[in-house]
Amino acid sequence: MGIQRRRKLAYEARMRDLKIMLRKIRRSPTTIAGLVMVFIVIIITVFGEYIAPYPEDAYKIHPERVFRPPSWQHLFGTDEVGRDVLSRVIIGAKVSVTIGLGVVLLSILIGIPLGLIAGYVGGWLEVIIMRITDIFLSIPTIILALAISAMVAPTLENAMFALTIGWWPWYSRLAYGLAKSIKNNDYILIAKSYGAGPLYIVFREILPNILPILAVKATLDIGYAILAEAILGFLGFGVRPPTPEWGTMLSQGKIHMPEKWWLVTFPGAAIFFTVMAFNLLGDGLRDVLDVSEY
Amino acid sequence: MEILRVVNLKKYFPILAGVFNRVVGWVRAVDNISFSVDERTTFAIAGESGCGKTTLAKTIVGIYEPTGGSIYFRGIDITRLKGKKAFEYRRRISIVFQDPISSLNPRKRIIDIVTAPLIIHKVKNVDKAEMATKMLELVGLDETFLYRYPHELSGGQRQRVAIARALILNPELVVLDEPTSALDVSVQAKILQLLKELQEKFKLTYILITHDLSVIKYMADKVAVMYAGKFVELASKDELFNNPLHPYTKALLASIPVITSEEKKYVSKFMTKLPGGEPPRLSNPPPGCRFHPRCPYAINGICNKVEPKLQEISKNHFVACHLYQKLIID
Amino acid sequence: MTLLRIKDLCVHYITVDGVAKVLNEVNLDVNEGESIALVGESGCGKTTVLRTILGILPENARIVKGKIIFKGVNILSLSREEFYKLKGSEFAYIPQEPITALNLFYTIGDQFTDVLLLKGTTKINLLKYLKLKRELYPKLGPEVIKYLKIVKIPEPERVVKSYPFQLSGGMLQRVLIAMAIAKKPSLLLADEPTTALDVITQKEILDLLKSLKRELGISMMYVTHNLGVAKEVSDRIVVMYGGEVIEIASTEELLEQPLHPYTKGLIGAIPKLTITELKPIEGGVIDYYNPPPGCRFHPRCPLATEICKLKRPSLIEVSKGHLIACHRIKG
Repeated sequence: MGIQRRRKLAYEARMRDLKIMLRKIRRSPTTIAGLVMVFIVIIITVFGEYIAPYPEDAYKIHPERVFRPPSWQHLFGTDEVGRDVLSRVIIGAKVSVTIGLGVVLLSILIGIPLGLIAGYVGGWLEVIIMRITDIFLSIPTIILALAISAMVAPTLENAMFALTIGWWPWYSRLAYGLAKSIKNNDYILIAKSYGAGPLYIVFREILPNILPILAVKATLDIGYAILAEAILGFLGFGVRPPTPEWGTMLSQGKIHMPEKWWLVTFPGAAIFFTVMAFNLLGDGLRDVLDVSEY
Repeated sequence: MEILRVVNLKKYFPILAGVFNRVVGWVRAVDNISFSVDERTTFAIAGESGCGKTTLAKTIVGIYEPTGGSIYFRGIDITRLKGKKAFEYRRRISIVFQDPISSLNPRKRIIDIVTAPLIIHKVKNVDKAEMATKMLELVGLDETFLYRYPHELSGGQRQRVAIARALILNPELVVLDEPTSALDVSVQAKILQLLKELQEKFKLTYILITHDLSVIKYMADKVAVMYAGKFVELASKDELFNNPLHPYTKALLASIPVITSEEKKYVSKFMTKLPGGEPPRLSNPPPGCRFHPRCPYAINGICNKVEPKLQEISKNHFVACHLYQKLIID
Repeated sequence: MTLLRIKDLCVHYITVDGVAKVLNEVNLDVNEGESIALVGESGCGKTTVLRTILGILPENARIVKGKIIFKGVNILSLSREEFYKLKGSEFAYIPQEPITALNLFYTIGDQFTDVLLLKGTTKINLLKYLKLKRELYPKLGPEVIKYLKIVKIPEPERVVKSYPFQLSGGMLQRVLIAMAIAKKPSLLLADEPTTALDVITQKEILDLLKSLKRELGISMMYVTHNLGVAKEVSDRIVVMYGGEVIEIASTEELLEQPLHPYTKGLIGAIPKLTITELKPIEGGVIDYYNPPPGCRFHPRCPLATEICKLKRPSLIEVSKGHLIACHRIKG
């Protein structure tokens, strides 16, 4: 059969799958909302400096225009040192979203392979990996992240690292459960009968089965990781001012409540919007990908 | 020429209990099985669910390691091989399972499913799509199936894919574990016909495992009847169907719901009183002959105490039953 | 006397991929005291027919047309209340998988007594139920044992105290049959109850059903894909293909002298114990979203001609009691 024909068939098949997925998405308004919202968040994160009206306010202070309420020049008002709140919210997205994405990505890279191997191979490996997983699971993620953040320098990377340490075991547990439940399916046994080793089976037979649930969980988690990061910031850990960050903006603004409400409301709304965005998308993905758990 | 010889094969599974997972018993799924298969023939194992036949199939193809005994493939004991040598033999024996749904990875496209063995055995210099198309053609599926997912296919089509995959490395021996039981009658007929054609074409040897004796009548050359982990009768197909000896074999034949009057006449020869009861648990089989609690002809004192051995009663016809052993002694 | 008459029944399923026009004007009768087998391969609609009678169709099913007349009443036109009352007292159902039909947390005796207590009742409040149960339980005990003995369950006293997971598939199926006949139904509906059982147990259950039919004169509709099983339990066989009834005849006549090309093909495709020949039926399964025009079997029929592609053949009686829907075979 010609290469041409083969390429055409492959292309047609992928188009068909895409069409089905789009049809499912179209049917769910919440998914569309989630997609749009996440898109907005990503655009703001990536192009923040070009969108923000006063990008220099990330660091520069303007004592002449402190505590201005929302107006046409400053849609979200100005803060206690005169910085434009809208710009700081926009640029603050960079910190929060980057950490959120980073935490989830790292947790997947660490937790998934460990969980899959523990689940499929079993034996001592299973015991060691899962006991370590259990230990980390028993400590509340935020508390662990706080403890670690207190010990290290307040940089973005360290905040990400602190959260990841408490986050990865959830992915390990997820992968473990799944690997265990499908490892006796016939298609796995057939691979075994051909002499396939555990690495092939885990990464080329089991892993594709975990992707739908993983996609849903990861998407939902990005929202929660961003929230966790904001909590760290609010409590004074993680990145430190003057770097714009939603959590720190909340904690610095709260003493001025309720008169200067705009200092707290807009960063809070940003957190809400972002977490909601990933939540809706994650839920929508669950329906689209037909995944009934997690 | 003999291609496979199984000698005293055993596969036991430990039963664990207690906090420390102590071994409290064994499930004797395959308990001392021996047989040989000539190349290009079909050896059928007849048995019902729970008799250990699937475990036997999985042990032959290397999914399970035997607890005891040996499997000789063209004279080499493949159960004693390790590492690279063992790996080489894996491509010479393949298996097709009963359930078309769970035999195919639901997240992979057909082309990847069929060519997976090529990847496992690192076969180089071969065009994946080319090979996949060729194999699918052999089983009667056209190239539009290449990029589909299993859930888009019917049961019969999935089984064809499973067969295509089983043949892609040119095996010499194919184990078929209830290959058509999950399929409709008309689909089953086509798959069985296909299997016969492929056997001719590629000089294959089949080990066919099924509970359906009519399918065995159509496909097999030699038949073994399995009950509770053991072979109770072993004979050529014609001999078994013309002259079944073991009470369990007769009961099986008598129970088949047949359609035509010739078949009705045929099965009515065998047994009027059915065994009753259920097949025993493999973890706690009855003492002596495992069939004795259900056997209408059981002799008290012998059948419930002494395990009968598989013995040759007439030429190439083996039975494990005290009724016949008595005859020999007499 | 006709007990059940299904007239021109059309049932469609609404799915993401469109409308599956499964049942296409199904017509069949069950007479009093007779047992009919509804035979066909998977997807032919036989289970849909059963579910329509029992009112257990899934949410996306639509009864587009037709009547089901039971003892003179069209049950499809009854209110939910009336239908449940009728179902409870007149129909009994034996499902395919015994273990999923029973509650694992209650003993067999407990569940059986509930059946005897509640048959026909559609509404009962909790207090009334508990009171009734306490009163009648001791009296119903012997009833339960009686029915368990009828289905030849060994040691019924022990079984009454057992939980479903402690019993084997064959035993559970007998329990379900006992529960079904304890309701003294007018019509017994069975959905391939022996599929999950091994061959020898299957024969025992089939023998049991045959003897019950003889002794109690029960009317039965038995759905199965296995012609051999149908032969064991039925007086008449109704053959379905692609959502249509294509042949009806007495069991003996259908198997000895099948007329419809599909029936003949089906019989030819079954492996037999006495001959070593197998003739598969050509072609593939029907697409209910775009069913073939005219006779639904025509794409696979060796005898198909022009009229078969255009006009749907109706069920005609070609000899006494033998009906067939085919343009090419006239008896």
